[in-house]
Amino acid sequence: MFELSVGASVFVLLLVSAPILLRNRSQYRNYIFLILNLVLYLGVIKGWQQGVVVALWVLIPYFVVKNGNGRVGPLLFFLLFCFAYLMQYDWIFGPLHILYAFAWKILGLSYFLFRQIDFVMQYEYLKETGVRITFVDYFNYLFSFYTLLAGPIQRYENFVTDFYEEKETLTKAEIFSCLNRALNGYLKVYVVSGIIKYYADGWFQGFGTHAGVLKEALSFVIFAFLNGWYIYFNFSGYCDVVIPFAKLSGITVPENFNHPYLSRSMVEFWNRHHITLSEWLRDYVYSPIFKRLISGPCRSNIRLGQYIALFLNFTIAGIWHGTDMNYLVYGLLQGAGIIISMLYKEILKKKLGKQKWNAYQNHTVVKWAEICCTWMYICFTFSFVGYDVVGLLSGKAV
Amino acid sequence: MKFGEKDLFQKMPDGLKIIWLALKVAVVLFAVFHATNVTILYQGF
Repeated sequence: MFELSVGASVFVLLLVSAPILLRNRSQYRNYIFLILNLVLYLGVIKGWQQGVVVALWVLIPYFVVKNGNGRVGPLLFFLLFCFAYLMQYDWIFGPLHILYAFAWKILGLSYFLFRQIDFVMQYEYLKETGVRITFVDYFNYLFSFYTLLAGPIQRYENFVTDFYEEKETLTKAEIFSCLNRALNGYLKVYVVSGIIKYYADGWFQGFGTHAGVLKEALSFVIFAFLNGWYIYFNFSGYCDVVIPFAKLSGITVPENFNHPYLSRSMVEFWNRHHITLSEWLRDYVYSPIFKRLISGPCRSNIRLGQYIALFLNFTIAGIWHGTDMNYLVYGLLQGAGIIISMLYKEILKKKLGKQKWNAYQNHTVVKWAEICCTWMYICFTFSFVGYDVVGLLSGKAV
Repeated sequence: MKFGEKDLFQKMPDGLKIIWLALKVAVVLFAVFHATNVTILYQGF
């Protein structure tokens, strides 16, 4: 959680001042952005150890890939190893927790990793296609204060191309519209999600105090639904704040949400929720695993290869979201949900035939039943995000 | 014809838009300082 009031204040200050400082197309615009990004980071950094870790984390990949021979495997392995260590995954070292004594946590580590992998993997392509690569641009790409805290995940090529692109002057109506969306975002985060969180916490803490299994189950269901809405309003609210403010500064931040709770399947859900994460995972996790599987063990069964790749993809996504067992369970449930959702569609399609399948799909009741089922499953899996549900189920006191 | 908040906002005169935005700022500030301790849900600190 971003709980530093200094950081939050600096963040608001930057959001307001950046449009004034970055709207001009001066040759120093990238340096101005660098200073703004540094201001936020220095505002939240805790101690020199963190500073050293951040500096190494940022410098090593840049200079290794720049002076390397195009082989990125060892560097990626190094990044992933360091990431796992710095994140202090509870279930990796377990009782040997003492090993984490030097794992200074750094703000933005998760999103740094995504961007660095994109930069490292695309470096040769970027060089060949003449995309601008300088340390300042790389730094701004990693530290962009708009997306450092909670995404969306940008790609280096898109970020740099957009940053130096000539933009049309915004009209008064567009400026008002941006401000309105940003304030709606703040309302979503601090008012709507705040109220929902208050009640979600209450229902979660009340678990174990109700008489009877049915009441306990019902209280968990209510908690899960509330938590699902809390996550949506909080996360999409944040995006609603940064996207329009970035637009006011002449920077395009990609959209990350498209009414995810209206999805009819898990596959559709991940195309509407945290869209940039789904796209990143598709390119850097799912596709490589799938290609390897269909050219090896799953050569004769491509569908099986697809299911295994999807399952691994979402398990990894779950692990990335957090460090304790809850996130591992969350990832496994997401993977299982995707496979069940795909199997359901595949089997039914085969059974009904094309014509009946189309009629079935267009039926209003079916549509809403699918939306409800997807939403309920999502809420159930989201209950593992931010709450120790594994601890609760294993009898640990809340 | 759309009647969402965004559509109505676009049709408002500028003065009313400013008042509407100011009201939202006031509600957010009240929430931040008096009503909630909720923050940005952040993955992977």
